[in-house]
Amino acid sequence: MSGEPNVLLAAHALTKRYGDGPPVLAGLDLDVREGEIVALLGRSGSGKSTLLRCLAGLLPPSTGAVTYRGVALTGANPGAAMVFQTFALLPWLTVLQNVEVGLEARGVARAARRHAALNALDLIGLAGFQSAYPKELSGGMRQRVGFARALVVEPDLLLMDEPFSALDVLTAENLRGELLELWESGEFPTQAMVLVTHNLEEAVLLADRAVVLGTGPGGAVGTVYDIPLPRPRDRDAPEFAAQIERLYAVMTGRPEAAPLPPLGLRPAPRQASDAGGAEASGGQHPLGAGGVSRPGGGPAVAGGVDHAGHISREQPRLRQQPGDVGVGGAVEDPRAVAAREHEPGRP
Amino acid sequence: MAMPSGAGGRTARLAPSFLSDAVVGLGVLAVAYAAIRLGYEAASSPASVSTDPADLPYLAGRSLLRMFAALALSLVFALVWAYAAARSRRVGRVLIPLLDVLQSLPVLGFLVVAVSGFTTVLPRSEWGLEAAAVFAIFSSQAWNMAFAFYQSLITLPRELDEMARDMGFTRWMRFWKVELPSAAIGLVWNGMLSFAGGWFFLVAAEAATAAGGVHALPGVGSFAGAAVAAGDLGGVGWAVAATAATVVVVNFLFWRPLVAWAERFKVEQAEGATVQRSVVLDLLRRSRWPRLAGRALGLARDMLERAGSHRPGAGRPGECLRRGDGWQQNGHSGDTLINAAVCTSAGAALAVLAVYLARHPAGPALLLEPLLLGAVTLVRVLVLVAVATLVWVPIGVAIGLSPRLTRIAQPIVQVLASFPADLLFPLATWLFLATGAGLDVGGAFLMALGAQWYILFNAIAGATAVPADLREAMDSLGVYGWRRWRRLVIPAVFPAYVTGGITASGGAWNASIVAEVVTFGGTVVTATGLGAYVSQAADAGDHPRLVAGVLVMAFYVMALNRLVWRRLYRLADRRYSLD
Repeated sequence: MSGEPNVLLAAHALTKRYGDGPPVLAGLDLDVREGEIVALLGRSGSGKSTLLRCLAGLLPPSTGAVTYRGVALTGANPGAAMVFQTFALLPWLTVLQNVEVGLEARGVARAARRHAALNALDLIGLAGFQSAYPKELSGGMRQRVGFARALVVEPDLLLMDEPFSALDVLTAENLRGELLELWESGEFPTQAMVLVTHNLEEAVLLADRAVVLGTGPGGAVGTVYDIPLPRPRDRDAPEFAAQIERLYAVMTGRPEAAPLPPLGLRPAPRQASDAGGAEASGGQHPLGAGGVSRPGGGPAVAGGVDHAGHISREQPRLRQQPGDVGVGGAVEDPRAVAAREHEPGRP
Repeated sequence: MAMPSGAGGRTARLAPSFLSDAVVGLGVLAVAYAAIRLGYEAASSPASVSTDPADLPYLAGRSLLRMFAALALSLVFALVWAYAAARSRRVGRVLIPLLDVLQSLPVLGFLVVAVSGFTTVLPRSEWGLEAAAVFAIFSSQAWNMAFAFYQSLITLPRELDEMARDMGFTRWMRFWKVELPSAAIGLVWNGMLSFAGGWFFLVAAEAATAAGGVHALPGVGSFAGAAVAAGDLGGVGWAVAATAATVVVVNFLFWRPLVAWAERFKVEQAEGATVQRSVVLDLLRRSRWPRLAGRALGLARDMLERAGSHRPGAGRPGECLRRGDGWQQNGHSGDTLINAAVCTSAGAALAVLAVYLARHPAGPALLLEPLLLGAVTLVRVLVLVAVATLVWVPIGVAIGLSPRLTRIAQPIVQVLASFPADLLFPLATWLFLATGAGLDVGGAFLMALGAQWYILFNAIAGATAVPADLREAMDSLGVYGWRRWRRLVIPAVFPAYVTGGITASGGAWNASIVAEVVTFGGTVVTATGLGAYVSQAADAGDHPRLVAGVLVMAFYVMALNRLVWRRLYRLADRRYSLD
């Protein structure tokens, strides 16, 4: 596959270990082609972020190589721009200056880069905020700055490290929707996107392919799953749910043969998760809590218990994150709406 | 969460006014005039000691010029040194231990040597004296600042490092837009504290030149030195008053605005516990001068950017500061080479010293006396640190836990810490002479006069940083009194306290050189200790004994750091770090 002309980014037999520690990635192969979105999935510590940083050229591989348009990387990937989970904005620069830094690094003249940055802010819905400082903005708006900063350099590849997970649910939902709209509109400068996420529903909504990183004997190996759903994707379609369940089964080690509770239960876990604290007390349908729910079925598979236990332990920390509520935006519970409508700082 | 009032918001709220334009403009002109005038006087008039209190404003100006010259030098040194050490692991491996050694050397010990050295090298003797004084202040500031910048460089937030590399920042952009701003707060605070410490050395250096006789540097320190030699208590009082006024003015006009301005470089997005304010900064922000200056600088910056900009392409290794995971893999053969070179040169230096000392008639016994005397001074240092801890930590915590008290107390503590304690030594000596108390105990008290503030300052800072949610949790659980101290306060303040303790103990060792021998109007009072030994050797021009004393003191400082403070530091980092 790597021989095809439209491969933008490829990893060949990529391994990565830190110091003398055990390998984090063990012989991973991956192609990212023009026009596709790839989601990197896996439980905490499975090497998703490490893989993304290798693709970005921020980390050198221990063995193997990452190539961009057929050329092996020896430093930061020239065709990629990254969006960070915690935004990574420079607090001492204004929004405009933050968006300009990439162009400045490329030696673009002041007037031209100002023009481009203002356009990018316009595109991402931040027109009029150019002279604000990041700390004056809400989380959602900060991440918009992060997107504008990445997009303004018109990268071939947009690499995103859990870009929505530090945002509250509604904000994340909005931003995700807008990103997808931009992507589908065809006016997007970017040819391909790679996204690290904990959220299965997000992965199925956005991605054409999902790479599930699982622990092999010598570190993580990736298994690639196609998500062959037509766009725009319908979250209420049974195929959508089926894709999530398949990925869920893969990630928890649950055999696909063991069926999950029927879809008719779906609204219930949503409300429960909105009410707060419910996840910790009892098992939920995986749909209700995206990729971070514990399996309700108990210890069906020995390997799965460990994974599930690990995942459910993280639940409280992730409560405000996108996995909690279905991505569909069908948040009918008024309590939940009230509780989460606190995106501050829209002056 | 409340929206923090960022720097931008505050600027917007202050409407520009003609009055502030005028005040700021006149202020800048006045400072520029004074600096030029002082510089001219310094260049033209021969160095001499004045004893007329009417000259004190001029003398304070001369002293201040030295202080700022040393600060500028220290800043440049700190930036270059720390940047070099952080950029390359190999260079860092040499520079960081060297910094450790330099930090432990008691500057006051070889001040006399430095003075004679500089006067030999420089053609006009007053320039030599100036250089020696600036060097003494520099050496009290530079190591601290270099270490602060280095620390900030190697602990750069990971995501900012990745962002800079991902965006292909040039070296200049990385330094100017990421590394320097992230370090700004640390550098400013450290600079302020180092500046405060520098006054002590300024006074000591100027007084030393005054005692030297032939030439003396005009300044508050030499004024006080002359007054002390003459036994003129009133003159000392004048010097104390002039210095106190200078310290207050500098804090008000320079450090407060700088600290308040540096707030914009806070990396964490939430609002800090205390917002630093400055009247002067508000005035500056209200005037139009900064914007005009900014526009002028903008042109220069554009040219710089263009000169420094090039896209680090795929063929160039990513610039990586963080150790371990960079694209540049350091070979071990190079490391071995570096290690060998460092060990060889260190060994050679030690050998030269050993030969030098061995030529002295006393032989190896030369080191024995300072070692024994060092033990006495060690006791003094330990008692001082212990007492200062017991006294100042509770007070500091009480101040730090109350935002209102912090706001009031912090500037006062800054001024107190800035005030050069050695100016008070003659008064204390007079007191000791009058009351008949001995310097053996009083010496520790004199050392504490300067060193204690570091402990108080850090206790305040540590208490300020205790997260509100932990305090609320203790409140809601009803944990009060001693149990609260044991469970929350002491662990939370511990890391900051250790930092203060290291500085205080280092400062105390250095101070012992001027605190264990004090004179007043011809009467000399001496305590038993290494400080007195070094001081007497310096006065007598007995260089072998001086070198032995300085070396032994450096040895004590380093041993104490390694055996006690470093361990506490690691413990603080491992167990009691709040982040």
